[in-house]
Amino acid sequence: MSSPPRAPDRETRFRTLYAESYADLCRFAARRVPPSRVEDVVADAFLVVWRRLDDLPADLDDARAWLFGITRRTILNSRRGVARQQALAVRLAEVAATQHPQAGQSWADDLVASRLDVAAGWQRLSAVHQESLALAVLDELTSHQAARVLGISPVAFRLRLSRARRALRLHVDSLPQLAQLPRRAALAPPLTDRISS
Amino acid sequence: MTTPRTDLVTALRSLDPAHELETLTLDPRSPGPDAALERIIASDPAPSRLAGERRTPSRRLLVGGVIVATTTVAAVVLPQFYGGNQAFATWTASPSGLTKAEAAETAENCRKELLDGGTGYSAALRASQPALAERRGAWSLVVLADDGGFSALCVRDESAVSMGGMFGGLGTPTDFVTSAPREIDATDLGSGGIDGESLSLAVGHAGSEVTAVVAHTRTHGDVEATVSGGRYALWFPGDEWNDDTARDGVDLEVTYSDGTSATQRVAP
Repeated sequence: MSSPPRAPDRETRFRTLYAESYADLCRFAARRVPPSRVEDVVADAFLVVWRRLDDLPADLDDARAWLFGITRRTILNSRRGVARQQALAVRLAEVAATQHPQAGQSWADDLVASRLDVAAGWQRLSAVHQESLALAVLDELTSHQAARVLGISPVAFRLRLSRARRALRLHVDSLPQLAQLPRRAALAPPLTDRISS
Repeated sequence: MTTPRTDLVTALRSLDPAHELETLTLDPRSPGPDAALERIIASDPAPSRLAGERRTPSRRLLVGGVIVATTTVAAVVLPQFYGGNQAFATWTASPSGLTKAEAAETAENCRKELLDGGTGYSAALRASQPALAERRGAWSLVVLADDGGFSALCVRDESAVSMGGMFGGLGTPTDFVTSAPREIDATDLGSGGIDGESLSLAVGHAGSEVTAVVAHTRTHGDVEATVSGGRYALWFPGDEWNDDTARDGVDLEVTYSDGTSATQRVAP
C-alpha cells in the first residue's frame, strides 16, 4: 500500500523554516560543539524538527527558542556521562594573550584585557553558569525564551543567570595579573561528549 | 588583581565562537546543508522516537541506568522493547557468533537506527564499518567503527516484533590511542535500563595479544566476552555494574596469546 501523499504545505513550511533558521542554529551549535560537528548537529536537529513540525510555535521568538531547545537536546543526546541531562558547557573563541595592555592605553586595549580576563574566568564557571550566560548574552534570548530552552521556569532561569553573572565577575576579579596568564588564554575545554543512558 | 575595564558583556560577545564560522558554513543553500535538507524531507516525517524531545514517559523509563564511557560516546536507547523478561531469559554467558549475512544485517540496522535517532555523528556513522558482532540468546550485539577511534554500539533484542528494541551508544574518544598488545580499555562500561530491565556491559579495545576476556560477576558467574578484531564486548542482565559499583572501574580477567592471564581493571 502506498503512503498517503505528503501535504505540500508542510514541506514548504519546513523549507522556509530551514532557510530562515539554518544560520541561527549553526551559531547556536558552534557555541557548544567543535566546528567540525556543527553541520551534523544542525542536520540532526532539523530532522527532529521535520518530524515535530506540527509543534512549531507560531510566535517567531518562541519558535527560535523551540529550535534551540531541540538543538540543545540533540547535543545532549550525543554525549555520554553522568551529566547528560544536566547543563551543556559553552566554549568561547580563542583570544591571543600576546599583547598585554599597558596603563593608559586605549579602549581597544582595555577590551583585549577584558577578553583575556573573561576567557580565563569563563573556564572556571560551571557548565550551568556558562549555559545561562551564553543563552542570555550570546544567543540573545529573553529569560522566558532561555527558560523554555532549558525546560525550567523563567524565575529559575533569572536566578541562575544572576548567579552566573556574579560568579563570572568574581572569577574575573580574582584572576592573577595578565603577565601570569599562558600565551593563549584559557578556553572552555572541548565537550567531553559523555552521557548516561 | 585585574578588573576588566570594559564591561563583561562586551568582552563576552567579542569571544563568541560563532564569529569563527565561515559564510559558506552558514548558507543553507551551500552543498552540504542543501543535501541535508533534501535527505530530511525525503525521510519519514513520523514522530521521532529519539533525540530532540522525548515526549512519552515510558521512553524515559528506558533511560534509567548509567552507561559510563571512557571515550566520547553517546548513549542511545530506543524504545519498543517487546521482548522484555522473556528475551532476557534467553541470554547466555558465552557468546555465539553471527553469520556474515546476519552480522551485516545487524550492523546496517544499527547504523540506520542511530542515524534515524539524530545523534550528531551522522558522517562518522555512514563511514564506519562492522568491527565486532555476537549473539547471546535472542540478543545481538554489534560494534561499528572506523580507524580514527569512532565506534558505535547496538545491543538488540532480535525477538522484538519490530525494529526499535535497542540499546546503544556511539562517539569518538577525545584522546584515542591504539591499545598496547596486552592492554584492554573500555569505550562503554556500566549499566543501562531498558523497559524496566537493566543490563550491564563492558565494550572496548583489546591489544593484539589479548585472546580472551572474562568478567567474574556476582550475579551471573563468569561472563565471557567476544574478542575479535582488536575489540572485546560482553554484557549481562541486571545492574550489577551500576553507577556506584562501576564508578571506580571493574576487574576483567584477560588471557594472552602466550597462555598466561592477568586481571585488568577497566574504568570509565
